[in-house]
Amino acid sequence: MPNNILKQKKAQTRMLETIAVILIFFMLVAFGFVFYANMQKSNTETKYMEEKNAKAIKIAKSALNLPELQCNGKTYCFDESKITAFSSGSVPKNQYFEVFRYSEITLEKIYPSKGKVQVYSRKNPATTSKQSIWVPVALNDPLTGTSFAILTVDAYE
Amino acid sequence: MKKKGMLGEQVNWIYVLIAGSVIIAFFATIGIRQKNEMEKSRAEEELKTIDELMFQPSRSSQLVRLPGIDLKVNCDSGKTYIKIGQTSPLEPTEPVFSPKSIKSNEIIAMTNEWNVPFKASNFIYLTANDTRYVVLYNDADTRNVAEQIYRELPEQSNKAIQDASRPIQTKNANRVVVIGAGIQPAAPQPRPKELIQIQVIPETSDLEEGKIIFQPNNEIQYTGKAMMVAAIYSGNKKDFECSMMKAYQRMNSVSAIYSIKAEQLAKTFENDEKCKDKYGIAQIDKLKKQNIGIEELKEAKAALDQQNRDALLQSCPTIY
Repeated sequence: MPNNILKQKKAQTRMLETIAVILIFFMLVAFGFVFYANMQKSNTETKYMEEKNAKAIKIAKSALNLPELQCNGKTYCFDESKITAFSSGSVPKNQYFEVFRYSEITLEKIYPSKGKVQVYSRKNPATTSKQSIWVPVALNDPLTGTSFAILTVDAYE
Repeated sequence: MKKKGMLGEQVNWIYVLIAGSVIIAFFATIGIRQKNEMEKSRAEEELKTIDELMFQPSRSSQLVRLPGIDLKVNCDSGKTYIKIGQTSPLEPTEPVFSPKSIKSNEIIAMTNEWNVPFKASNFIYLTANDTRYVVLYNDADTRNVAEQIYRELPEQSNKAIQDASRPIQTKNANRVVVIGAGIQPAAPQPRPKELIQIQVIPETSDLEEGKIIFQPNNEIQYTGKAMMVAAIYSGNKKDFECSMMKAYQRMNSVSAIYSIKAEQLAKTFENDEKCKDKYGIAQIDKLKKQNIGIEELKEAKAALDQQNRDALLQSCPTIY
């Protein structure tokens, strides 16, 4: 009899040992996952900010290289009369959605005269969060000559 | 009793095996998913690099090392889709001219302006060093043409210029584009995996206008060297015409802007004897047409160029 009881107790102890090992193992796995998830969250946030920046820069580059706005064959130069024609509404803006997506593009003259012109605007109704890029450009008017301006690109998500 | 013990041991081992298999399967699934995610992430990074190559300054070329890249370029109704693996395709906003598939460790990208005569679009050319371009000539005149074509190809590309009487060196390239400068392009022996034969027949000495024959007998007309190089990069009439649809759409949009600009200038100078007749929009309006023929395009281009020169000579503001 006592032998039997001893054996039973031994078996119970062993069972408890096994259960404890499994519990600790899964606790370690859970800790590992939590740590990994936090690391991934941090990486994802960084990547998300980089993506937002890259998107705004891409839209700015597209605007700088767009023949509809650019001085013929020159970089970082906009033709003022073309800007006026483009922003006047004579040209349908929806065909430029694939280029500019949800963004606002503004040209602000700073020297010698001041003025502001909205080149393109299409806000994302789902969000107000935006990333802004500013680029100094030359603005060429065939009648009055060259002035300096700042191209502002507000890219919405 | 012994039997009971033995049975218990067996059950224990079965339990260990099952639990172990479940755990291994769990971690294996995570490992495989991570591998797929890494591959997808790498492909997306490569696609971003390709996207950035499209914004380089005009007339510049760049070689980028992307080991093991497998690029698929498709054109459908004027829209180009560039895909790597299972990523979402990149849809460039400018026309792209390239082979349908690029499998290499390096990509060579070049951009060039297409002028009609004002800049209508940036053409983007993609190729790799596994494509060899061989330009052939057979006399002094065709050699001059061949040299001009040779200079239009990027410095970093796998290119050669040679007399047509000599055997063509393929240098084990998977894809060989043989360009005959005013002559029939010969086929190299042994034949490479993919062979493209193109004959360039210029109509002007500066190669700005002419025709291209994709062997055996698909002919297209071109205007502007950018269009000539685009045909060489496309390698066939179908892909070339598909990408050119995008180029013509861009030309229509840009012409609409120039038409408004010309009208504004005409209004400003309507009382100026010297400049008032320099801003006719008839030629620009031709470029706004969606289905303009190549001959009409060439005429409008030449007329606009002359109109602009006249304005310049009279010290009047130019349209472009």
